[in-house]
Amino acid sequence: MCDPIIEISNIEKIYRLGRSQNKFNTLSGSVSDFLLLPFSNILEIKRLTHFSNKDQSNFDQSILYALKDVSFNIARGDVVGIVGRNGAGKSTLLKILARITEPSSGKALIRGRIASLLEVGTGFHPELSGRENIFLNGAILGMRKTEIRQKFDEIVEFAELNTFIDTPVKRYSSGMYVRLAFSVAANLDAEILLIDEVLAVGDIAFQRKCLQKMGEVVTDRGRTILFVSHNIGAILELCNRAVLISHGRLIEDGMPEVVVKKYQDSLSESNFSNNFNIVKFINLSLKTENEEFIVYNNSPFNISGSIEIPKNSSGYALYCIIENSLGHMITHTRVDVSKNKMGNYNDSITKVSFEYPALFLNPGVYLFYWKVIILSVDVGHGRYLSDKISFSVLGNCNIPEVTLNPIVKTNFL
Amino acid sequence: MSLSNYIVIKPSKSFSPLNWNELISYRDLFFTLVTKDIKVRYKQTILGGLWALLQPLMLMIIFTLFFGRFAKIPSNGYPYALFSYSGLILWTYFANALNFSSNSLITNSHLISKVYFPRLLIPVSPIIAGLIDFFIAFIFLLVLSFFYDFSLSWYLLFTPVIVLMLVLNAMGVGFFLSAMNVKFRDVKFTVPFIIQFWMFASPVIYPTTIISRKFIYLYYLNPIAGIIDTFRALAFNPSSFNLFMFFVSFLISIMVFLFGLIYFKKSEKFFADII
Repeated sequence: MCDPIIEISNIEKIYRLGRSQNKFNTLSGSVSDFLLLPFSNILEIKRLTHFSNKDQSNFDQSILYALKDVSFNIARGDVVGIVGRNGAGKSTLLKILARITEPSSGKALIRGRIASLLEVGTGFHPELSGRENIFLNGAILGMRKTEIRQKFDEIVEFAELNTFIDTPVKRYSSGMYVRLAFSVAANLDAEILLIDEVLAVGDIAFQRKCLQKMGEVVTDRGRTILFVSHNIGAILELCNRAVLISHGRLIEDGMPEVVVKKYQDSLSESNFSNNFNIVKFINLSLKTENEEFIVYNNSPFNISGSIEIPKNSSGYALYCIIENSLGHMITHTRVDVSKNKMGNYNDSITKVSFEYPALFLNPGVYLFYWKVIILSVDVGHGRYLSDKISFSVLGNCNIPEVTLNPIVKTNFL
Repeated sequence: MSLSNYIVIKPSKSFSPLNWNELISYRDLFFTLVTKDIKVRYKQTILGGLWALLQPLMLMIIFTLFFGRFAKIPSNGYPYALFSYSGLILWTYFANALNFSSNSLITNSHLISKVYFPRLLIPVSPIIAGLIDFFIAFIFLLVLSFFYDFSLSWYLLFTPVIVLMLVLNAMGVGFFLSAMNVKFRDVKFTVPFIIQFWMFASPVIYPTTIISRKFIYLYYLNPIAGIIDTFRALAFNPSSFNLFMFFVSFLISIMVFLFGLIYFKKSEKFFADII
């Protein structure tokens, strides 16, 4: 067996954050400040690229570790998904491997021809025609002229732009523009491909085509791919390995399912005040027929758990709420519980299950949580939240975000 | 394939030497960038490529009117229009090259932060693209000499050497200013003044003969002065060709080029981080 195609050892990258200076409030202060501005500016700009050892050891507020001590190897033919929250350092890692920026310390070894797709349509010039931009963009991505000429027809056909190929791209609709850009990129031949979140372009039909093309690329040509995405579905579908990066460090490395689960957990918010609450939420979980916390968007699922509530309250309302990763509410379901209705209410622990139909959510990470509002006066009014628990939605779909109002069957067990 | 098969990524020393193999392997990209610069320069203009001719021609008309007619600046006995036009085609090329090249990294910042390729290609490309303009303007010099019934010398065939020296200077200064520009955007505002000043420090619209002999060596420290004088000697009067002055200019041109190159290579590793 040959050596790993990429060896990353102890890569670190530090940035210095530009900071705004303190301003004087007095007139003389601001005048002298203004006059001294050139000097302070020159120091400030010089500092941006200057790091002394002292800066690194001390805890300097203006220093940011974008990556810290990241090491891992990638074998030939691996398709590695990189997940992590915004600002975790995923893109910085790709930029270092693409040689766009240098690491501050550490070393990486790459044994093969590498191409990076950190953006679709890099270098497109609005004044040039589609045809000219294919050659320009292809050359920028590292393709030879003969190579582009060979693939030209394939690119144009994939982009569905036959009649507009000689129109300047500034007259293209934004959809046509990204389609052209993706088509060039999709035909890029390199042993190693670095891809940063460029899959989601165009309308639904074109997106499906893109994912399909990606699938072909992955399976047919045996290339090594590193691929940053927030689309958990795409990662689970395409990758045979995933790594999780958080705050510049490599946290987890392994099977995509395991890493994605860990990523989800890191997204879940825990509600600490819960411990002191008189309402307790126990074992909240989301299940489909086969899986836990992972749902295909065309299949029904079931959220269940138990709540413990003081016996002397006369009734309460229970909500099950689903949010997307941005915190926008997708749907909420309410069920009222009163003493009269529920014979076994005195048991104080109630098991509830919400049966959801298929919701056709866009693929990605979502959160669900329960909320209890106590209606009775004796115990005191209260609004109690469970932890937010994340789950993944898989599938091919991209529709504008809407608030859903599905018919949910509630069972008390 | 365009990239070597074995890449080591690590923090570089303060200066990384020029990697010729890599530059050569990126030639397709280089030619594509040059073609883009040529195509884009006069897009959506009415006159298009005619501007290559009109820029030095308009200046010639203005200078002939104000300096030739009114101020009676001498022109070594040649028709002033012809004299100034011969200087202006060199100067216009150099000034445009400098202007485009010093802003090139900034206008292409999206490339720098998204793809890797030898950064040198960016400031070089507009300098090479401008040669087309120079060629068009040069052809018109022949037309103009015909119009004035003035026969140019065959030594004009050495023009490529002159152009090479101009290119070296444009690259040297372009490398330096474009790299500076990444860090300090002041460059953008300074370049027009540099160009203006440099033009008056070069024998574009006046002959070197009006410079006092005391300062002549100082004057020729400006490589452009030697370049323009050599060009005029080749075109109008080969017997006035001054070999010593030519070598001084050539040497300084190479020094300018190397200085710019070294500065560029030293600062290039930070481009993507601070652009």
